[in-house]
Amino acid sequence: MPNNLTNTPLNTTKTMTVLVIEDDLVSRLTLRRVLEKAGFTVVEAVNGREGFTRFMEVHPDLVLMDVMMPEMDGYATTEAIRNYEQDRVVPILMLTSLDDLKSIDLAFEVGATDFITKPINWSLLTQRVKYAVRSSEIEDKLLTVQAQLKFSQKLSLLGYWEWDISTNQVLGSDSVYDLFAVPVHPHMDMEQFIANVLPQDLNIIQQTLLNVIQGKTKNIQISFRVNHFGGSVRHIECLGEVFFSDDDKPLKMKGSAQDITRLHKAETLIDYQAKHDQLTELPNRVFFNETLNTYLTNIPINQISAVVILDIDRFKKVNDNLGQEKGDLLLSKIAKRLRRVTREEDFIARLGSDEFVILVKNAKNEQELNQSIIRIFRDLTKKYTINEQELFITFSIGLCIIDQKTNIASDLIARANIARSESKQAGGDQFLYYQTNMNAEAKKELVLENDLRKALDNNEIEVYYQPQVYGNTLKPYGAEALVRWNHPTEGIISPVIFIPMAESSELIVEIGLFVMRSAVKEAEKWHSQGYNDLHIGINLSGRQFASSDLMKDVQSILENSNLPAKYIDLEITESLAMSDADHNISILKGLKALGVAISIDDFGTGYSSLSYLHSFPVDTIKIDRSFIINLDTKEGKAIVNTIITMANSLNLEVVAEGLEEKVHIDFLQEKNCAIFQGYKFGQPMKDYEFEQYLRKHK
Amino acid sequence: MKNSVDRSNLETLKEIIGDDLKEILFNFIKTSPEMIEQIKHALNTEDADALRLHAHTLKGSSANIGAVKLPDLSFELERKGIDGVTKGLEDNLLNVETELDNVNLFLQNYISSAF
Repeated sequence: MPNNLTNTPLNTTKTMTVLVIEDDLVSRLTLRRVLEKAGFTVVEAVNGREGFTRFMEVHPDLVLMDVMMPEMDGYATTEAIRNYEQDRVVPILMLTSLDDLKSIDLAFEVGATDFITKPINWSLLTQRVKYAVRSSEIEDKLLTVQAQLKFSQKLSLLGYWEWDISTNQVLGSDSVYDLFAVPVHPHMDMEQFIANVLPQDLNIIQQTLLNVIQGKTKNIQISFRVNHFGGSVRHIECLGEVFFSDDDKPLKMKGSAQDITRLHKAETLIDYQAKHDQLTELPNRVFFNETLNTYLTNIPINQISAVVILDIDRFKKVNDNLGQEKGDLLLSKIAKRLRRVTREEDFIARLGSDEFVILVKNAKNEQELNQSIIRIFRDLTKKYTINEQELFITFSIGLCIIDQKTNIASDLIARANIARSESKQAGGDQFLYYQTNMNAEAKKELVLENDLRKALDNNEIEVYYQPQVYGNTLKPYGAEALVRWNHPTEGIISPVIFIPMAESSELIVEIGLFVMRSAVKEAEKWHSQGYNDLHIGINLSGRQFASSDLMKDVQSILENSNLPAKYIDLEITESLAMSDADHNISILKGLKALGVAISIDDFGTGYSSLSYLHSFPVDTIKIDRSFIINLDTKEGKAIVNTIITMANSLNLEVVAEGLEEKVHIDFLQEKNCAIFQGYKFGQPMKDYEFEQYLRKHK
Repeated sequence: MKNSVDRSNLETLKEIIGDDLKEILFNFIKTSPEMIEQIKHALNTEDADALRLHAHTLKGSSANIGAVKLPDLSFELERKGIDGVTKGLEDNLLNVETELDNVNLFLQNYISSAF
């Protein structure tokens, strides 16, 4: 295997990209010229912070990094890169002086690959760089090969075992322990060996073993199920042969074990095919009816669900233009998109040629249901690409809300169908509810959503600032930036209404960026007016947080502003932070590396795990308003007290939101809560009003 | 007396990158006085961290083009910065300034003779 590796031609056709992070212009330029002459593509950065951003942009094959730099030094940058990388380990070569051996140790500790001493030996440099790239490529390949080997052994799923009948001891290959879901152990008795076999299958095994001991069988063939870690159940088949002594007493049994789960699945495949549509692999009409009927026997109360039927407008014409094959491809793509845009608990099926149905479950209220439908509607009408041909299609959608009275599957489907055909008669490209007043509401919301698309261009989105003050002195600490929509005819629209609309499309990212830019600009203004220690809190939405551009956007805003990064507090809600904690920690670390502060908003409302909180790179937590309102009760006081104590022990600042009552303020002051926010200290206000506020509270 | 710049280092670089070396040397002649200014500013404002950083940069930058004595002289200043000393360094500064003049003179001569 290793021979293969050294013979593998390394990627020589592609030019290698080297990222040079070095603050000194002369050294940087020399490195660039020398490396370019050797055929490398060179990307430069003048400090660690910029270097980290470039790294994320260009994914270089190697990094050359100076140790000592302003803004973010070589160690911090190496650490940030190592945190950010997921699977590949890009070599990082540190540039350090020979007189600074201590720095070399530190560099290795944070994850540097190697070091090059200054003054640089120019004739050797390119060799060193080529060597480092090459060894990392080989390392990559080696890891891949090892993983493949392990995988292929696993694939065969075969194990060997041996049972000594007189001592009752079992011995086996490593894989057999794996098949039986027991730890690898050389001395194990039969009872321990079969400990994870499903209780209902144990009988078969015990009966078989008894037959063997009594000398009644020479060969066995049995299959049973084994409980595996994480709850999966695997079907195992065992073949065995019994060995006898000269006087015909059974001594040993030897045999194999094989995982036949897949075989078993093939048998259930037939059942699967009867319930699924072969083209799209979605459940078919039969399966849908069955599922809907089961659902109707136990409709959850206080929740809304609906049957949604949709078909393509003028499908016959579309299909004639595309031809049968491409038409089928289109249907598969629609099915895929339906799966993507619906939630996991929703049930999708294909009813007929171009007709699909969705059982939308568990919406909190009609508004949420409506939001889901709008989202599905929007996503379905986006561009389809069929063999490089771009296609826009529209749908007619009909909905019937399920309530305790309408609980017969066929009625629901029929009603949703009526609504669908009404949509079609009204020209298609729309959705209608079956005989409720929801239609007017839905239309209004659609209009509003269309308006929202133009709101940014029309300068209707405005940023308001709500004062935050120090708990002890009640002097201004800064402000939280809040977004408002000033609709030309409807007036001010609450973010509670329009943020979910924006969240269902990419609009939220644009709005979020606008708010961030405006707020940073405004805070920069305060600082230039002499209020040079004011902070600005800016909310990040889920979409923004998930966007790959976030880091770049924050970086570019910081670069174009004189506001020191530490005065910017990026706020994410607790539920967002905890949604994919491990992943989010690395994003937050990246943001922290840019110098900004991080706050957890709505603290206490989500499923916060304290064990996670201390591993989050967070500076501040904001106690949710609901806890402040509860401060009148003993329990409420105890909760807030606990949060503050815990935050103190983790070295986190605490912001109390929604403060209105004097008694609450007194309580929080006594507990040394650091920062207050609430109507008592100021409502959200426009930028010039906030500037007036600052002058008044100097 | 030894030369201010190791000529063989320049020759090696010239072999590798050719005429682009001229651009690099010009840049050194242009940016090195700026570094001295920053060092002076750090001394005036008694900012030891800034002294350390800028002396370090001058050290690396000059070593890079093959200066012989200047890196060591810069390192003396860097050392002071690390120790938090920003006072009584007039002699060190003068040494660095004088040696930088020598280096830049050498580079100018080299440029006119080699290109």
